[in-house]
Amino acid sequence: MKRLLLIILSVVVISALVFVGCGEPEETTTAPTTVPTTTPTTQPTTPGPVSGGTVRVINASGVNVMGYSLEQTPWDLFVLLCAVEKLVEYDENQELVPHLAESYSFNEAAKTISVKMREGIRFHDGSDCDADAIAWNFEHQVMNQRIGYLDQWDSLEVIDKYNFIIHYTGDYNNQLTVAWLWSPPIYSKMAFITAGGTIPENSDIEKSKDWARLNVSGTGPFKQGEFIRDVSLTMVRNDDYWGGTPYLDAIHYLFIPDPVTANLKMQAGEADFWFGPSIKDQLELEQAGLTRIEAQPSVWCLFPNIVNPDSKWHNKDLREAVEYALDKEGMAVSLGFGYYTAAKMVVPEGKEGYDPDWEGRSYDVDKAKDLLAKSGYDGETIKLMVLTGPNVDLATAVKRYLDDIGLNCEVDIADPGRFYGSVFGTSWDDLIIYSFGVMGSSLDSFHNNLGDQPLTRMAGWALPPDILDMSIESRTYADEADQIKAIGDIFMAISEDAYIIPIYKVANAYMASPYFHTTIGQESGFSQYWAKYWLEPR
Amino acid sequence: MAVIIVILVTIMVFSAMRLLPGDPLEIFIGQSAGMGQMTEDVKEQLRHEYGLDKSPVIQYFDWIGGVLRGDLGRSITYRDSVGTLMAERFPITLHIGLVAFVLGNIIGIAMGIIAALRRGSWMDSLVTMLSYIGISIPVFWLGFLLMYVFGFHLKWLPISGYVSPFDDFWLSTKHIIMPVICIMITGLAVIARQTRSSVLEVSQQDYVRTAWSKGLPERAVVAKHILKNSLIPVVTLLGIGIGIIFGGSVLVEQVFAIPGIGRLLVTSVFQQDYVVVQSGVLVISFIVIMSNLIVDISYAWLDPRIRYG
Repeated sequence: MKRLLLIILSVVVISALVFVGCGEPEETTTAPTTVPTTTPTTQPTTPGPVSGGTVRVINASGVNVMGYSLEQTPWDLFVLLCAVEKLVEYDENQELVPHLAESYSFNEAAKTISVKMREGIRFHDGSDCDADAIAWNFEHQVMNQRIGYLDQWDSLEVIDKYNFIIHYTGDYNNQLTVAWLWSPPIYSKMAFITAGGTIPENSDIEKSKDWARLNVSGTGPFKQGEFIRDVSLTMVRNDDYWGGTPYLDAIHYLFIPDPVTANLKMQAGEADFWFGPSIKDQLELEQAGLTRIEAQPSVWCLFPNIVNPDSKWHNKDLREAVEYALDKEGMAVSLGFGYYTAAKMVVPEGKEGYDPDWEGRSYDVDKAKDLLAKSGYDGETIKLMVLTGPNVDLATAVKRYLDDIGLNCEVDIADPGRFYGSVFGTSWDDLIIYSFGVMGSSLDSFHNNLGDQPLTRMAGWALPPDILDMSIESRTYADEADQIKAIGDIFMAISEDAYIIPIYKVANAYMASPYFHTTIGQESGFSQYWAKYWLEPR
Repeated sequence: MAVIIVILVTIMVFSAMRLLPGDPLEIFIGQSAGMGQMTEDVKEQLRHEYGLDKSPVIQYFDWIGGVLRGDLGRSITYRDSVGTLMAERFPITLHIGLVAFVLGNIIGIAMGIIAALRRGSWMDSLVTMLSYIGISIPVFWLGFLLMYVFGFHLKWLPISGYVSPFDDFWLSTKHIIMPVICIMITGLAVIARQTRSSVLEVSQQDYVRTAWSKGLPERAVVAKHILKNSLIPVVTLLGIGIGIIFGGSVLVEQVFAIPGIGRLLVTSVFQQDYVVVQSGVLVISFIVIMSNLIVDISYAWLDPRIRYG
């Protein structure tokens, strides 16, 4: 027995030694040993950008498909925007400007878009980013129906090494710039083809696809380093970047699905930047001394099912009753901790199309009850679908307000599979909580998400006929003032008839360590912005 | 019997996934929102590519046929073969699971023996209290607690992630300490309790009393007469422990951001990535069944009554 105890004691002592050994003041990072340290290589003598260092970025979901754009999701591309660029990009003022393209112009008479490429840009594999490579990218996008307004696509004509023309059919469409020049990410043709075999003519397309699913070759400021699926992705500095050498040595993405873990990693100094923290995490980290960086706002709304011909939500009185029943101010304060504001329109305040003079529908229980009675509501329980996560609190609050006016509401909490399946596939019964955000212009965002030819159509919501005409017409305006007026009219029409019921505006934000900086005002994770991030020496 | 159980598992998992509301392609399309249009033609093409246009019965036999040929199918979410995904992740789960299994059993059995041999002492009380805590504590909560104490406050251990022991053994060890504790805690506590009661029961047998009366040293009585005879019910728990390890990995790998089978299954369930879930559960059920088979065989070695019965 004594010997047994002695053995156990020995095991405990050895374990304790190992444990203590682990506690030595080494750098505790999850990065593989090949990743550069986080200490910048250049010590600044004066405040300002310095080169060097690796920024460790937390993202909830990993990249599933690296460089094969036809199978990518936006979440994949979001992470890869430090490596992949587009012909035009949003600048820090959220305006579309030529990027890989040096210039572009529409010729309405000839129905062409002429694009002149910047000269000398190379992909990460060393091949030229020229008109031929762009034509190959478009060929794939068109062939696989991955870009919008395909009914207007005619052909792409390569004029010379750096010039090409897109021929289109039909009327002028101001959305073609977004759909055709901004939407498709540009990848290396040569890297793809040679991955399938060294002789291009005999290249095996399936081998190329397999390679592209795990590798990316773009033109961005960072190129692919080590990729460990669902663990991490290291993007290393592209010293030959056409836009100037980036400050950072590398970006090390850590894919951490659990927000509690991500929060602790930020507080422990094991990460420098976190995409997508909840408002509670933002507050907690801010109190812990981290920096909150605001990105583009969005408005959380209730989308009634107005597609199903039998839907009770065609009744305007019912929709209005719901909006009057909601104490938006109260919800914004209690759920937004001072960062949310009540929304009157689906478009965020301050963006084009927002009308500050529109009174909206303020909390009025009596009015809501009157409208509910007028609507002929029969007491049937309505379903409010919400994605599992932080918005369940919002759904619970909405249910409470609807119950108060006598509208029986049942919250339906859906996992991502069922939720997105309902939003874009099988539709929803009554109401769904979803957001609308503006990136770039309000008109572009409207057409991308809610317009007559959205990138992906919601199954239970579509533009009513009168607004549908306005949407189609809004695409024909070339003049900016006309576009702003058109989108204002559209959003007002949606608001007046309560086709979408706005709740509150959310200031989306990222959290960063205090020593993480940028030389630009807007931090949204776009490729050209990553080149301008830098780390302060610690 | 084992083959029948495996077949039943495949049918149950296959049916359960099909009964879930939602369509994996719609989910994929939903996630692709903003990346371009998905026309009905493209949708049908994808449906055909993944065999989702066939009847469920044909889909089942196609999948089983593939499994028998060594082809576990292709993931809709990862756009890669399930075999590759499993090969990437299985060693990670196995690494953490095996360490947890071995340590949990050694410590659990040792604790149980000590508690039984020192019945009524402070050691017995301590082991009993700890085992109750171990049985009742939620694994994910324990994970956050460990992270908070050892990762955040003391900064002794990295909060999350995984490094292969072949890349950096010490860093790897530091990474797995907290996940291993979380995975082994329930099994360890159950084994400690079971060992304690089993040893107590065997200790009161006549042949043990005879051994003591013969003047045998404590080591001989414990090792030869008590331990071996009290191990049979504990060995049964070892087989069940394999299942607990894979079940625990689902939570632990999510909390500690470890790219193992558990995390793959969680992601795939949410994405309704049918083939990955089916194949993952099939592999795990096969391992659990094989472990229990080995446990059954080991009874004969431990107990001659079974061998000659």
